[in-house]
Order: sequence, then C-alpha cells, then structure tokens
Amino acid sequence: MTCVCVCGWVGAQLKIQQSSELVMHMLVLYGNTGCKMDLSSDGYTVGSLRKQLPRSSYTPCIEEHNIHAIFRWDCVWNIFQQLQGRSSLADNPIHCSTQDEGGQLSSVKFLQNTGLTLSITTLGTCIYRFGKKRKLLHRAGAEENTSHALYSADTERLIFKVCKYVHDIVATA
Amino acid sequence: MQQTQNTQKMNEMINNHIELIPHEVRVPAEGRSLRIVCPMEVYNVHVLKQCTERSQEECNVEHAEYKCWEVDDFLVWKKISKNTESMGSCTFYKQDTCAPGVRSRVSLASDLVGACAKQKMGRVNEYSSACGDKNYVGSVSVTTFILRVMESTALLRFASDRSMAKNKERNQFSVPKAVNICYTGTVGGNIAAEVIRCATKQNKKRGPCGSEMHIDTSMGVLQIYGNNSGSRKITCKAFLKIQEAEFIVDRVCMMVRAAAPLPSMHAHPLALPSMRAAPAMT
Repeated sequence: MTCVCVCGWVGAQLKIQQSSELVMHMLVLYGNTGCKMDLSSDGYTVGSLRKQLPRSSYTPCIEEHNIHAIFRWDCVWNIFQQLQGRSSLADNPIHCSTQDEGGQLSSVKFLQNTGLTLSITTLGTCIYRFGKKRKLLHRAGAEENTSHALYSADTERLIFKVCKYVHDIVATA
Repeated sequence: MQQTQNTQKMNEMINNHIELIPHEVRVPAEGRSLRIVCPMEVYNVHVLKQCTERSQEECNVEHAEYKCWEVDDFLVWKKISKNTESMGSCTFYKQDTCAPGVRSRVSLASDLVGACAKQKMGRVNEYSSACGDKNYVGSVSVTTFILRVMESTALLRFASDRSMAKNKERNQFSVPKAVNICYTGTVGGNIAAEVIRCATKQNKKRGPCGSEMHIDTSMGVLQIYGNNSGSRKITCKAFLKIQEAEFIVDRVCMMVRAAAPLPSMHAHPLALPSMRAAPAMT
C-alpha cells in the first residue's frame, strides 16, 4: 500500500496521500511459563537467563511491593543473532522469509534499533514489550536511522520468533 | 458503597463462599435476607432499602460464637458476642433436637439454623451443671452483615474477584501471543474531518489522546491527528498484526474514496468479527 486517498462524498477529490508506511512503535505479547519462577537476584531464572541470552539489565522483585522482575535488552538484534547462530540453515528464520535483500536489511536495521522489556511474575506470567523508545533515549541521534528502517509483516514475524526463542529459554530456566 | 473494614470482610466472605451464594438476588421493597451455611460457620446477609443517597449506604457487621452442649434430648447453646460494644456478653438458648446422639461438627451449623425452635434462657444457663467437656459438641461462628442500600435498589449481584485466581488455565504453559501492537504512520492532504466524524458517529470534536478522528473497528483503533503543515500523524492501536492495521487503513481509504456518503462503521463489514481473518491488503 502506498497511498490513501480520501474523497468527499460531496464529490470533491481531497487528495489524501499516505506519506509514510506504518511502523510499529509498541508490540506487546503475553505468555506463561506454566510453572512458578524463582526471581530472586541470585536465583535460578536470573542465572539461567544470564547464561543463555545476551547481556540484559535486571530489576528484581521489590519485596512487599510487587511480584514481578524486569529484564531489559537494549538491542533485539543481539538476541536474533544468537537465535540465528543456533538455528540450522534450513530453518534459519531470516532466510525463510519472503523478503528481498532490501527488506531483509530493513528488518535487520529495525531489530538493531528495537529493545525488549520482559516483565515476569513469580507465577510465570510473562509480558514481552518490544519498542524503540528506550533504545533511542540511550542513543540520541539514532532516531533518523530508525525512521528509515521499513517495517513489514516479515519484520514482525522475526520479532515473534525472537520472542518465542526468549520465552522457550525463560520457560525452561 | 464506601469501602470500609466491614465491606472488606463481606468481600472476603463472598470470595471464600462464592459457590454457595446465588449469582443474583432480587430485592423487594421490604428488603431481603440471605443465609449461607457452612459446616462450622453461618453467614447472614440482611439487605435493607433505607438510603436515599449513595453516600448513606453502609455495611455493618455483627459477629457471635455459639458453643453447643448436648443434654439429654436437647441442645444448650451459649451465644458469646464478639462485637466491640458487647464483647464477651453471653446469652443461653435451649433447643429441641431432631436427631439426638448423632451430633457432629459437620451438622452443627445446620442444627443452629434448623427448624427446631430455640428457647431463650437469658443470661443464666439453667443446665450449667450438665454442660461439661464430655457432652460438648462444638462451636459455630455466626457473622451477620447488615447492608443499608438505596431505596431504588432492585437487584443484588454477587461476584468473586478471585475468579481469575481460581482459573486453572492461568498457570498453564502458553506460547507468547500478541495482545497489543501499535503502529504509527503519516498522511498528507485535506480531510473533511467534520463529515468523517459525523459519519463514524464520533460525537466529540476530538478523539482520545488529542486525535482529531477516532475510528474504532473490531481489529483495532485508527486515530488521525491534526493537520501539521499538510501532514497528519496516524496511529493504529490495539492491533494483533500489521496486516490487520494495513487492512483497516486501506478500508478507510476505500470508504472515503466513494462518492456516496460514508457508510456507518457499525454497519460496515469492518465491524464484523469474522473479518478478523480477512487476508492482508496489498
């Protein structure tokens, strides 16, 4: 889709054009590990995620205040690279997509500028939030690059795969 | 009704015994009483239509413990008040028993509220010498909630706020699924905002979040913001995948492209849930 035209029912052509493609700015997913989680700072979940996933920031549960811990990854691309490294060539997600080279580059660019926040409760409820805001706050000046990264259904599929990969690790942690 | 310690107690009672409480109860002019009988607890709920203003509505709680002894072919009950103003005061009752010798803690609450009449003995237990450890049957806790509600109240509905916690599926493994995706984009040109607002039944001059137009569909919400030097920001909120957001933008485009007046969004196929599975737009 390249253009949105809005005409008046009075018959006049209003010449409305879409001047930019839709870009995701917040993507929230919900999942459950199916088991209770040990979220203490020196607990099993934290240790396991540190071992199996790229470096993340960690905010522990605040006793008598909440029951969820927060993990943040500033760059989803790092997780995706790890996923690619572990996947066989046949089911390599980025090669499975229908994207052309330009589309793939765009997806890569988008993932590089996208962060992930995982909120996980002791009951195993996981809320995954993908967005670029935190990343941009940390890296002023990166906004221009991000705005040119096109977002497509393939980009979204890659994000879903990254999320499933992280969730599998969390659920088995 | 204003939340107090008493309403909190009532909430706890409802949460703990929701399966014993009727889902809804009609309240006639004279009020309504409910009784919930558990093995060792009895709860009375008296609803009185006495208030003319919401601020007058209140919940009072009375609590008492009934100790029971079996003496010959009758029961002796000792009611001990647990209310602050009458803490510890006692009243004795004598009750004929329908089935002597088969008393147990399980049926004790049923006995207390059963059909067999109780005779009040007052503050003196006439059978005190016969009430000892050997014939002590047990005790029943009785809590009475007195709800004063608006005179216009016609129906009471009881719901447990722990129903989510009791949902067994809550702790089953589930693959992460999208629950909310928001997209942004821009459009440029002139939009007859007033006409679109009218056609989409948007009564307010502005939509939420400062948007000029707000188009609610079964797939998500499309918001179009104000004109900024010919460019307008659009946001697609609460979608589940980009194809659906693009589909909605495309449909809105098609709708406003028609020379005829914009069809109502409520009558449009967009509003039908079955359209969720619609293929992606080109």
